[in-house]
Amino acid sequence: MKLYITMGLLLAAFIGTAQTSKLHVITKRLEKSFPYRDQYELNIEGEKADVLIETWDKPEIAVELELIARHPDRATAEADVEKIRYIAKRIKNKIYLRNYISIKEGEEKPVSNLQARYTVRVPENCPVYLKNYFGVANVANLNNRFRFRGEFSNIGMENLRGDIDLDTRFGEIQAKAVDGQVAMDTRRTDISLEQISGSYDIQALYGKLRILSISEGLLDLNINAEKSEVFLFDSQLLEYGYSLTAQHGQIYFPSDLKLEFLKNTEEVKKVTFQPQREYYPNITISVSFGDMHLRKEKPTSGRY
Amino acid sequence: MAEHNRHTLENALQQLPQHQPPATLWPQIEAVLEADRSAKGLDEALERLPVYQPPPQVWQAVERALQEERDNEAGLKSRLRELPAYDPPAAVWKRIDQSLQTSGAEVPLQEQLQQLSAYDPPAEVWENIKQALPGNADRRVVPMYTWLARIAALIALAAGAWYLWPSDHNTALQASYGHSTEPASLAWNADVEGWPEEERAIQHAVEQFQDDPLARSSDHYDDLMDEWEELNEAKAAIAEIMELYGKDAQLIRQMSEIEQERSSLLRRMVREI
Repeated sequence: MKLYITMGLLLAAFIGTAQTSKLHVITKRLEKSFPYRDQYELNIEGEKADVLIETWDKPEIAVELELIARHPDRATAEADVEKIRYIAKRIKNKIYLRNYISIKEGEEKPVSNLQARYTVRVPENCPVYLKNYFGVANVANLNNRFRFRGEFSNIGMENLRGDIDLDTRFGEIQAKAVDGQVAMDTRRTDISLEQISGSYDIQALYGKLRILSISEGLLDLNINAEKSEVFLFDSQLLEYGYSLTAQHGQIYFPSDLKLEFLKNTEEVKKVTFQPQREYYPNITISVSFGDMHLRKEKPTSGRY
Repeated sequence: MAEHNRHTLENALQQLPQHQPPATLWPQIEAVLEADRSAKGLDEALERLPVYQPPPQVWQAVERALQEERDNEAGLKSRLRELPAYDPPAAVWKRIDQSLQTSGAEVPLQEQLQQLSAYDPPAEVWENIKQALPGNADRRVVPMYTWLARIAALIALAAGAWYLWPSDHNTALQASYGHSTEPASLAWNADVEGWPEEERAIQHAVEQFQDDPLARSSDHYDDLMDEWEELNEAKAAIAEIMELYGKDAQLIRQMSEIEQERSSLLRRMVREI
């Protein structure tokens, strides 16, 4: 008899475990299109959102918004997905997209795992202003103006041109082939840039900044990093002019890069270099309470 | 009538004799003004000037002229009232009535015209007329009702286009729903609250750092405290978003990184004590 009771309890426990190991996923899908005209700007304000912005050749902004709720109980997930509010409308020349959670009076807080997912297609010359609070954003192929304000949100950019302005806190930036007037103001954000060209101005605090490669179109690169570590990898380091300063930090560079020390004390290290060329990009890096590393090759694996 | 009265009054006034004050009066006025100008002011001096009235016969002449005017107007009105009243003879009204009915005579005339046989002129007649028209022989005279019809059609067309045109303001978002299942990830039941005892120990260490005179005198004190506050705010922000949106791997990872940074910072604080 005891054996049966024990087996019954074990079975019940197993069923209970099995029930909680499966989640019901309710997806509420919304679609909307806006005719695009010059001077329009797309404004997205995401919260716990995965945002994907792509370009196409239609004069139209197409939005697909998915609101997702996950919970072991299907009815709970269905109720909670409706607690994610959204806005998708045009006001004058701005197209606003937004999601947020608003709890009505007397309404219970959601208990499901909730998420918003945007897939937006815009003409490549459409200016975009994206704000994201938690979540991930990926943007590609824009060529006019892109602004990003992120908190606890990662941003990935590829093949962007034009005026690019990023302001992040507790996030991560990954960019490849970004060309133009690029300004970054970051705090507690790790930055990874590849194939940079144009003019870069980066202010970084508490982060790890990696330049993985430089393209021919680089005009100048200015980095002001505090309590951060800076890595610059490029196979043609000798082709650029440098003005490097480290306060309470070290400057590491290849031996064949004949940097001239203007100052070399325990507290401050300052070096310059000018290549044997008439025109060259200027790289100015200033680091305080951190080190900078100039290397010809980036490590193929592992952390650096 | 008012114009006539005014004219009569002006004539009467012009006929009135002119009266000048005596020649000796002006020097007296000047002397008084000069004497009082600096002392009491112009207003007081003027108040003391003698008042001159026109002679009574002037007012009598004005009154006579006005009375004569009033008599003329009253006489005219009286004579008008005395005129006899005449009604037109009945025949006059009959003739007026007949002339008003004249337009009704067109109806039978038009009915008669419609009953007439219709004859189309030979084509060359129209051609000759066309050739005879000066200059713009191709111009057609479009009746007014045709224009009105065209305008109405345009308005109807525009209204239809406006109604059917895809407008981003009017197109409501159409929601569709999907359902699926997936295995629960580790994040679903992950414990991110930490141990209360541990948090109390951390808080105790920070308080010791804040109370320690040596630590307070350090150059890094303010920076460390600012950083500590920032990390605490970040931790609270992540906890809040977890409360609303639930836990997932990314949030747990972010919380983990913040906690690591807090731990690292705490170790630095302890070293300063």
